[in-house]
Amino acid sequence: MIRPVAGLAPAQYVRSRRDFLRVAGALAAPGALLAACGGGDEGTGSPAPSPAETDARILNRVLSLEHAAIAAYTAGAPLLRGRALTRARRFLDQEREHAGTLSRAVRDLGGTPNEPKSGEEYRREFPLLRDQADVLRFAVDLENRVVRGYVEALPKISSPGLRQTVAGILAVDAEHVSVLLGEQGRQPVPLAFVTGT
Amino acid sequence: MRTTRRELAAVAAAGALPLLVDTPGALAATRSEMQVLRAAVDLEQRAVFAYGAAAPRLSGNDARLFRHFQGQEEHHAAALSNALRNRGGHPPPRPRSAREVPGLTRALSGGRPVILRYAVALEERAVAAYSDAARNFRDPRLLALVARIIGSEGQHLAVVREALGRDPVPSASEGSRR
Repeated sequence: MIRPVAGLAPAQYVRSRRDFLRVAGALAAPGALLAACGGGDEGTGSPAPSPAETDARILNRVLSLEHAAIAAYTAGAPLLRGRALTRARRFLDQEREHAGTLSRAVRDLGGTPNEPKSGEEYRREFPLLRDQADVLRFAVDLENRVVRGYVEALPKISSPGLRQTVAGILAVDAEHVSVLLGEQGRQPVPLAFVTGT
Repeated sequence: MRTTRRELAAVAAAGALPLLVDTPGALAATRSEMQVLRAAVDLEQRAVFAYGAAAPRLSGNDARLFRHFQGQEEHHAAALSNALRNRGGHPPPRPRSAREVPGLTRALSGGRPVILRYAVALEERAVAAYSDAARNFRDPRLLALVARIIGSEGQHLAVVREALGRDPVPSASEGSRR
């Protein structure tokens, strides 16, 4: 079931194509992306973090990306129809599962899971969404951001079990990209190595 | 929707089941990164051969898709082989006939649905294998390679599932042991 982002109507996401391009351009810089999603690094100067603390911080970064994907599907769903809507609902549910899995993992590591941003914050960051084509384009961008987050995270995670969990989620988010590309009439598997770029 | 018991039975009847049960968790069962790497190269080389052998039995978009996937699996095999050689290892020999790829001969004689189910099984096994490798590798460079390949195998899996009329992304996580 699609639930609206708090305080946000679909039309409120609508701004300009220039905004869309600005956001899409920002997606190319992973550091900027993570910061935009609320997942930036903490300050330095404190003792070196433990492996568990490092893992929790890495997982929190991708958790913020998942929160953004959830907000995006929620915002975009009212503009979708037919098979695209059915799939967006399915993907939204799966992103919620990912967020739940990551939140539990962060807690198990002794950390505090990042919370989603407010609807207003997402509204400021999201591009103009006027129709299904806008939503699919933005969904591909966001899913690629999520994939890139996982690709960058995986080699840095010290827990073998968490690496396996992340790999399983990464595969699914790459599948989302593929299906969304297909919905756009594009090559669904354009590259032999999936990096989210 | 994952492979159902009925579908598994159909695949088994077509001779493809050994692909699934031949070496389950093969990558996880091996003890060193070199062994895991060699097993991954073997997996990719079998996939290259399987897609190449199956493409002429298909037509239209299916055939184009299989050729495309064959090329991508070739890239995976090359990258993994390079990683293996850089560590002093030697890639396993490539299969030279369908008989060297478990279940392939029977799948090829079964027509489009059987071939596509075989491809689903092939990709599910690949994703599960890389999921295991993500657990077992320690070298960040190998983990980075696994991360880039598992996404590609997941995409192959989604596309082939869809070609079979199945839900392309049936669950929130891939690679769980079945």
